[in-house]
Amino acid sequence: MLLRIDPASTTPLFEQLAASVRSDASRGTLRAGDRLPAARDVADSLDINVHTVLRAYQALRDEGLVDLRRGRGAVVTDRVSDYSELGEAIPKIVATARSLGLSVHALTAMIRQEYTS
Amino acid sequence: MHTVNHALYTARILIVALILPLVLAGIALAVGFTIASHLPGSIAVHWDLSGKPDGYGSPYSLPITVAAVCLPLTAIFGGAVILLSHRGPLTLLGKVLAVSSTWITLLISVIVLSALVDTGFGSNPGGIFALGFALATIVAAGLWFVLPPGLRGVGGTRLPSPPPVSLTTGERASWIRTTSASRAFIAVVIGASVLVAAATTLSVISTAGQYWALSFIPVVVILLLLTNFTWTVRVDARGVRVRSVIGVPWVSIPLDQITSADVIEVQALAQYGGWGIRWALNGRIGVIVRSGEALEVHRAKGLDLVVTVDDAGTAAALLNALVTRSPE
Repeated sequence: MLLRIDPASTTPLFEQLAASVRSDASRGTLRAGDRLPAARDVADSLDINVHTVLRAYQALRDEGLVDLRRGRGAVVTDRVSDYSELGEAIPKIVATARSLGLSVHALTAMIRQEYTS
Repeated sequence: MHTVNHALYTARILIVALILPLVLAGIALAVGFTIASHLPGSIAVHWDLSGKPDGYGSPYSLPITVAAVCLPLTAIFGGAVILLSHRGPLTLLGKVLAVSSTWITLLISVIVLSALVDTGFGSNPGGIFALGFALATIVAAGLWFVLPPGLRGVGGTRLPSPPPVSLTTGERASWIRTTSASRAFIAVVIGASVLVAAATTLSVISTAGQYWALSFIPVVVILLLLTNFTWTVRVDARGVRVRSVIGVPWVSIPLDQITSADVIEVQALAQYGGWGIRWALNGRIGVIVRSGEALEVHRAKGLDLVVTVDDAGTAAALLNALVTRSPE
């Protein structure tokens, strides 16, 4: 799975990591039963604190995308298939926004408003 | 001109895979029968592990053993090689099969013929075996060069790979994936290993525990086999690392040695001679757990790496982006 973070961004690192995993879920490259890489491996690879990775995994557990099991690590649940709808919708929304000349901030603001309404 | 080259090509394969081993077996038979005709009607034909004879029979039974083992083997291997050669240049596996008949025939002939000689096998079983092994291996290695060139440089067929991932300057990215052999495959190998372990245990018991040290062999073999089934593949700013699930063995290539990455499709048996960590004799190291999609990593100097893993396209895309971005 592909994990991307930008240390310069204002979004907390653990949130960016969780977003990376959700991206993979929505793209269909993750399947139910797949194991996320060991937190130590991810931390070592991205040069970040292992607790940051664990926090990201806990956030994913809280929303039901993964199960955290002792000895087996983070295992993807059946919920991953629900994320594929987002995976289809997001490219369409972004393409539409681009064609209207909207920046990512403008689009994000519109999405934020939808959450609060 | 084309016909002459084709005839020579076929002749080289025919000689190595079929004619030579048959001729060698024939010579061993002739020599064996000649010696046997001068020997008494009953001689030692089997020895225990300490070199003492524990079985007696007709001297002719020894050369007949050569024929009984080597002739069917040569027919099967040689036949298979000839069938394979119709499909095109021989793969690595095809060339190994081609020299195997001669290798086995030489080894068995040396051992069996030495048994017919007075101070032969029984007096120094270890030394005779070593002699046969060395002779067979040297001749087989020589035959490798008599064979026409094999399917050179083919470690797989290239598949279209996605464009490099677009990374911003400060962004960090990593691709981590586990790859492993199918459960059916692992079950078959474990089953075979259990059989070997059982056979070794029986041998140890039947020699009243004298050779108990032998029982370490299946344990070591099984452990080595198990490390070859599941690997973690990691692509990041440091480069590529492929590590067995228990930590060793591993292959690691730093980013500054990598020039590019591709997605290819491989055939485990035909192109890499099997599964596990492989040296492919065609300029590549392979970590092969199955046939199919694989990541190919090109190096500036040294052997390229091929790892069979799903979603190799994303891995290649990331690696190419990292290579382009890193200051050279």
